[in-house]
Amino acid sequence: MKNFAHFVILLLLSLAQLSVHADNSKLEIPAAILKSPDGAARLHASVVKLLMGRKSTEAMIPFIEGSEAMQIRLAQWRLLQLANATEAPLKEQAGKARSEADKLKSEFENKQAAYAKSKTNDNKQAVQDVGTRMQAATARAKEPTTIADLLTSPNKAAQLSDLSADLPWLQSLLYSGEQFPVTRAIYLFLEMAEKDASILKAGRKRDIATAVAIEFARNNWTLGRAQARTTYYNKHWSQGRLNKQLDNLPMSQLRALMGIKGEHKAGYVENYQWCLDNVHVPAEHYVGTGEFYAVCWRGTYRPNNIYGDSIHVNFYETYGDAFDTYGQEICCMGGICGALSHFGAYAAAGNGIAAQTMGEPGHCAYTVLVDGKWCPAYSLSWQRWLHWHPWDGTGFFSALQFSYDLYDGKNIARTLKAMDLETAALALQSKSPKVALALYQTAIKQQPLNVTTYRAYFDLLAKEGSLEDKVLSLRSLCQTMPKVAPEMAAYLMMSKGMALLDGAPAESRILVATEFWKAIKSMGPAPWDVAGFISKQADWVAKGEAKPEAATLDFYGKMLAAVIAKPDFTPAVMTWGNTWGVKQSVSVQRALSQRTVQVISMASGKGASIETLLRGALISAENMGDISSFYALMKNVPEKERYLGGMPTWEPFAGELVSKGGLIRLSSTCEFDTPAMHAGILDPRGGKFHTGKDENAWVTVQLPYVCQINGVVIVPTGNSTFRQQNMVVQVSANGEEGSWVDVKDLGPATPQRVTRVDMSANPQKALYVRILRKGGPEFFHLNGIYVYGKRVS
Amino acid sequence: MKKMLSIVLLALMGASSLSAVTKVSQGDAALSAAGANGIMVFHYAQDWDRYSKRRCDELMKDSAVAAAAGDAVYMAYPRYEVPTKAENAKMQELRGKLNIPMPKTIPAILFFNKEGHHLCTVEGRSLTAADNATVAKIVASKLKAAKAQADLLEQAQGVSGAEKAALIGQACRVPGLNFTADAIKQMKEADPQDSTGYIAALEANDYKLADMVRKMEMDEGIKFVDKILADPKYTDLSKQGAIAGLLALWRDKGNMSQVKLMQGYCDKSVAIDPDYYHAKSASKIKTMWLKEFDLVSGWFKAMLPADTTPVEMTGPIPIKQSGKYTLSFHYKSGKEGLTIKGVTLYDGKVKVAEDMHDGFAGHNPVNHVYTLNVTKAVKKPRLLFTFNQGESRDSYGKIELKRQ
Repeated sequence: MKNFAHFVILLLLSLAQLSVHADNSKLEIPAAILKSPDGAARLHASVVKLLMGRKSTEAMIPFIEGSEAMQIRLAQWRLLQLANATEAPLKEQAGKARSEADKLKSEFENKQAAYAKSKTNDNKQAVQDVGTRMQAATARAKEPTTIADLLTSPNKAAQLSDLSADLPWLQSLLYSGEQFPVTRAIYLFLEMAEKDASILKAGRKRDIATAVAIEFARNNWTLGRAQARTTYYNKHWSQGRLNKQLDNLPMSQLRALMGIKGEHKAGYVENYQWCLDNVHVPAEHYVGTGEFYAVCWRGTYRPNNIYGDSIHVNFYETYGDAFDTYGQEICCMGGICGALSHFGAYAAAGNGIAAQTMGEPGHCAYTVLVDGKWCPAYSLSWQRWLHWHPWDGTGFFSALQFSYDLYDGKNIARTLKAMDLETAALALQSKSPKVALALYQTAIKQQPLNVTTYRAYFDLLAKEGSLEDKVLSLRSLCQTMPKVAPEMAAYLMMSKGMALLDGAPAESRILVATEFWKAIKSMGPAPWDVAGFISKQADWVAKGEAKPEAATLDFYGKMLAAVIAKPDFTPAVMTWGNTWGVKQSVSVQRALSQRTVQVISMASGKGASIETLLRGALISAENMGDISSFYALMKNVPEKERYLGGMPTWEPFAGELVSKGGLIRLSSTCEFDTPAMHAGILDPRGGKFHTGKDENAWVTVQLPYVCQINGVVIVPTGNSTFRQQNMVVQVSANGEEGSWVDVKDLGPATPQRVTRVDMSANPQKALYVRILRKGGPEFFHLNGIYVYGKRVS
Repeated sequence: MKKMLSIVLLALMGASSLSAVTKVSQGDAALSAAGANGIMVFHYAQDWDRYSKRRCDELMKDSAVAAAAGDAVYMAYPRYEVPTKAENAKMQELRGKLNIPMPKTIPAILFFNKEGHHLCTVEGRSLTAADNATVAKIVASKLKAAKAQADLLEQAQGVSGAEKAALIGQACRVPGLNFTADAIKQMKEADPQDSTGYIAALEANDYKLADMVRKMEMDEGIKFVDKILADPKYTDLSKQGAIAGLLALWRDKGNMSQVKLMQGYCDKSVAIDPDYYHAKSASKIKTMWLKEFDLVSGWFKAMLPADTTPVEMTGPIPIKQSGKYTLSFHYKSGKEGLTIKGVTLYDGKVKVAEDMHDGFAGHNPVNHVYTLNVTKAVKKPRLLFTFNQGESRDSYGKIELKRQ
């Protein structure tokens, strides 16, 4: 009772200050509330009272935006609410750690017994290893799971109380990306502060410690590693040894840097230190430039160790602890894509540059933040899956850039304002859902790109929104976000948005789905799975319909009409149409075909050939390296328009014609070019291409798979042969600038109609072949390129 | 004339440190001013860290380093983070004709001879963790090595043929320095048949030699590795690589009678340089592969023959009394399971029991238990195992012996 009276007095005092002045030092959460089991509820009541005290929803907005004290109160409530919401998972983690510790205890005893029996170094090491793991699990099991539990000392209570009135810290903690078990993050932070009190003071060191605490809590990594990582960065940042990027990295990206696998050997501070000493280079060198190979190539690509053991079996078995750090290991021994990419990414991270590893089909690559852009490195495909997600579930590549843009200098103020409104909405949604919905809408207007606001808004809409509200909200999302972040918009639609209109009339869903394609302008920061999204949309519009084909056809026609003038997307939409069509009845296929022709005709006016209409789409597919879309589009071209015919004959090289089914790409196109005949360039029936007047014009052949190339046959056009002099045959593993290796310079002589380039004496492994025509500016044209060899992957 | 003046001015400015070093700000000026100790380029980050320029400035001003540098020409050189065209042009202008390669890490000191050939780089903890006095010692040692290399090259100019090739080869082997300019080309011209063996030695490396050895027959491999180990032209690393190749060769083609010999090669690898990872790996191999075939170790890849020659257990065999004994094979790891043909027990030279049947020990074992009916006490038990593994020998497991 006494406590309660004390609380009420404190609360009244602090509430009084809201209306008088914003002296933040008086706004800290009283320790009594922090320690109270119903502290969150009490704070919630006060926040709701303050908000509902405004005359209208409209009046709430300037009140929140204009009062730092109110923003602090909102964030404080959000903190306690998040602590409550994440208590159960924390308890579960602690329980698992307890079981793990028990299991390790018996293992530890066995190892001790084995060591007592045979005092070998291996047995001694085993005792130490299990002992360390057991200690870590025991410590983890004892960690607090509630805010009250973690305030074990008056000192810690006072520190948290102070921090709770510090708006920038609260914003860093709560408004910088995905949510996490906040109790554990604070526990980690305060434990780190015990070792180094300077992190309590506002500044970059505090930011670093906060980001480490958040990500280590989010990923359930150990306190010891968190402390080591924070100490490492703070020490070297203070000494000025790290890359200057760290000075101004937005909090979301600081989290990306500190959230790189905390329990991986490459992420240990010993490796970071080695990388700082031995791989301190400009940021762009980590991904490679035209002049410098990417840092990952300091390790040799080696699928077998020096004894011939495979990387997939016992590559590392005979090395034990031969290496002190991961960097030394890779630079000495090499490895395959996973090892090299981890080395590249962590070398950057050790130097204070945000970096991540990422998966690709059958490959591991990495990405580094260079000059505000996330750049892929050692990447072989646009299909990438990040190993660190800015928000849970957003493993796609463009999410990283999106999280940078959302929190960088230009956007941060809007984002934080939106977050305040989001918290206010969250606080009111149980008492007054309509007001909460209005606040979410305002938050979205304030920052139309905020992922967390959309998620919370959609959750409330699902419970409380009318059909009209839902359609309006989804249309709003689809009208704005695809313009700047199409993949993120697609993700939000697929993860939460589409479900809002389950059971709604098909027209509503088609309307929303089409808005997306009307709004979209470009691929965004990177190519993405457009076809996959179209499939999801198509399933969605047809779901529950009595005539699903009719709904799908309607959607298809509208979608195609929306993208017909956007060559980046026409291939994907038409390819999807073709793929869907083959599974349908003849009458549906006919309707689909009619719909396609109708849209194309409407878009082009009268008299245009299909080749003209598809021209942009074909070139776009080539530029994106999208082999399947290119050939799907080619199905719309009559066969007689695809091939030249009348080609000379030639003697093939050993192996198979590995370029068949590949894709060409030109240095440029021009009015004399015929993209419909580009597939023929790789087919013995012949084709043609025609670049613009380029200096050093080129044509690249993307093979369908990595090949060992024995030779290339080039068939020049036989006319204007001066344009085909000085050709150089080149190969590359990834097609990137700076990666091309000259195989044969054909010199200034007029090329033969059949020009054979024999590479059998030194077969080249490559995915790309390029014919570079040196000199110019001049047009460049050929009738055929035929690559022979054997497939190696 | 203008360039000359600027050099003189810069030299006068540099003289304030009371050393013989000359400080210039541009590559062509450095080449013009370079003397016997050549050029030292202090390479720092242009505004993308706050440390390296400071460290380079500190070292350029340090009197101990300057004393070690003697008449070397100092030049500071920035590296831009993401250079614009103008910044690239600026770097090019600064370099002039002096070809400054990108070091592995920054800060770094790059050493060039007076002709502008890159001799070596001092970087990493040698600069960041060492005090100035230590850096000065490193500088002195590098310049001493550079002089030794230059002397050898000068001698090489006065001779021809194999003698010339050998001198160039020796110059390339001066520790801590890069190969001399066009070394291999000049050696090939002087000694096309490589009669000195220097070209092969310079072109060799640990992995290359290991690959070569692994493709040899056992006797040939041993002879080849012995030759490499005795040849001072090969680096320690190459020698360790050759030993690694031999150990791998033995695992594939050798036999248990060569265990001691191979253990000796492991020791040799450690003796060459115990800190390098090939040596640490060789130590581990000594206990992993080169062990007894006994009931404790079980079977392992290195002891499995490629044919059906019986393998005798080398460790103690606890079969003394008569009775029924079972031997069970339990697979542990490796790409392959174990294919067994039979187990035979001898007392000295006399066969006393045998169980020959096809068995397999893998994740799903089949007939993997062998029974020996011993009718009388055994004085000198010997166990011989017959396997049928062929080339697929990557298999490890335990053998459990029980008396019924």
